[in-house]
Amino acid sequence: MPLNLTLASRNLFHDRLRFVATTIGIVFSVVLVMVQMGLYLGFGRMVTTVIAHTSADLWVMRHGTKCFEDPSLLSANKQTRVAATTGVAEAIPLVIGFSGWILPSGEITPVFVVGSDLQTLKPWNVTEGTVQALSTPGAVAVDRSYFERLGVSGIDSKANIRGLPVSVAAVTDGIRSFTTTPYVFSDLSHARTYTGIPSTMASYFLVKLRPDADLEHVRHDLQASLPDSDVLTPAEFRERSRSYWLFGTGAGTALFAGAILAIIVGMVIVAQTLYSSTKDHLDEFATLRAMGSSNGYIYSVIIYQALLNAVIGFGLATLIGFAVVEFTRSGALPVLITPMLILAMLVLTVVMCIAAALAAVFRVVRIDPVMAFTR
Amino acid sequence: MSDFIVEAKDVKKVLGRGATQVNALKDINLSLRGRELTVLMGPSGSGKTTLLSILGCILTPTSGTVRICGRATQGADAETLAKLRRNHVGFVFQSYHLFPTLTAAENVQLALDIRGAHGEGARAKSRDALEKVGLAHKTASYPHELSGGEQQRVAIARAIVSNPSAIFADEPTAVLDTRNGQGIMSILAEIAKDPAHCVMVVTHDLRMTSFADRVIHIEDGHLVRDERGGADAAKIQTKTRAGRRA
Repeated sequence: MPLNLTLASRNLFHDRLRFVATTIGIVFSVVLVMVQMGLYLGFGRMVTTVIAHTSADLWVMRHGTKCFEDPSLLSANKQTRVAATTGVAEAIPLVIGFSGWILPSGEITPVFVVGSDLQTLKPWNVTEGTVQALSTPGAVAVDRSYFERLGVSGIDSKANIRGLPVSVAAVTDGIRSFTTTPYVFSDLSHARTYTGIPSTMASYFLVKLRPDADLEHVRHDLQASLPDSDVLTPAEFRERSRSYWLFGTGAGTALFAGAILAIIVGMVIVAQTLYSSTKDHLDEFATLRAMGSSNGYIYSVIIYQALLNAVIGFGLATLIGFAVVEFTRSGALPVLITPMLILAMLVLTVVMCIAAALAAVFRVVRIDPVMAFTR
Repeated sequence: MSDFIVEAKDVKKVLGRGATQVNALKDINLSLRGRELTVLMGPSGSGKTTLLSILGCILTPTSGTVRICGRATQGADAETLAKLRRNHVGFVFQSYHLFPTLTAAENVQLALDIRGAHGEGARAKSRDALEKVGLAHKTASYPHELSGGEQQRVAIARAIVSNPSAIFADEPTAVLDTRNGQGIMSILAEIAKDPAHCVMVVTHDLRMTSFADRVIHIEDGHLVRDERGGADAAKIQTKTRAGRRA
């Protein structure tokens, strides 16, 4: 180990109380940022989860539709025009909408109905029953996490939607809605009944292209023939939905503001402790300077201290972050920590600690080696 | 080329400003050569430490010139002075200034590390330096595990490990008992036998002059007496005296 690193680490661990306080500060800050960003990512994934699980090449929607849950409707006769466009293999209508689920006890709870051809968009993570069973009249799929809310216990549980009897034919695991309103999957025709959307209307058309079709070309043609509609790729629609929910509602801004505050708190804590540590070791730095050390060598000791703080704090914070992920996994809004987020947090922590070390570095710049004679 | 390791010519140093301004050194002319242990004596506030700082390239003179190994310090910035110290100077401080979190060997090795010497070679040199000061058995000890005399010997090992031309010691025996103080002076005298080294020791302790090849007295920023070989061949520098009279 280089001697300047040895000196940095020994100085760091020598004052255990200060080391613990610094580490707690960094961990607190990094966990806060990580959780805020994890919530941001989790929220972003949650609001686009249905789009992500749909195997369409293009989405056709009413112009100005803000997000997947937007109640805007299209005229169903556009389906013919979409299907007739060169390069389009299929145009599948999709119906979505809020409805009322009547529990056996008579209570009503809102649900979000998703009705499709059960091929292009079908419930995923099915743990009980089958998707095929949803084609029978009154068959629906619900998520296990909403059993209590919906008053069901599994396959063949009975309830009503808008007065129509339904039976649970498939159970999924982990399909949660960020609105906390449970998704209920059914086939298209029953979904129309549950939502009251007539057969002349649809929420979306899911477009599947022929294998040899050029996506951009088809999109251009569709957009030209449907001027009052938007034609988006799944990625574009995900981004539009994410932007709406995160920034249109202010939720994302609040998460980012929290993260920035956490970074500032972390920087102040690290800066304060590094500065006081440097002040405590001024005699040593003056001695180094009197011995002929370059300023760069002294900076390296301080920077190494900051880096050690960063790595230790980051390591502990990441462990806590994973615990938070586990804890929130089945919650209404799971925290999502991706490898990219971990990497970004490592870089952020290092940058934060080095930036915090600057105050200490500026103090050392002014050090007078004559101090070594006078103390 | 001069055979002196350190040369000071007409050196003046003014410290402070305005009402607090002090003429700390006045017309100092002094040369230090190898194979010589010079003791600098004088009362408190006489300018000993200021002179040591200027000769050791920590401060630059307000006027006059200082050369160390032929290189002038006049006008040098802080980094250039640090480089001169790194290349040519070793310091021993009154209160040792060892790094409490490093072992004796690491403290010595630090002097090499700042000079860019790392690895096993540096470790071997550190052990050799500690052996020279009689502490081969204490390489793994931390400063708090060493006596005052031992700590000062580690500090001497740190000062000599990079083989500097000039070694400056500021009151190295001030906080030691007589036996330990004499032990330290013996080591410094031994180092000064090498023609490649000049050693200057600042001390108040008259007993330590017995180790000196040369004793210089300073008062009020003037060199007032320069004695060699312990004889009373005092050589008051004519120029300095003339300056004082003026």
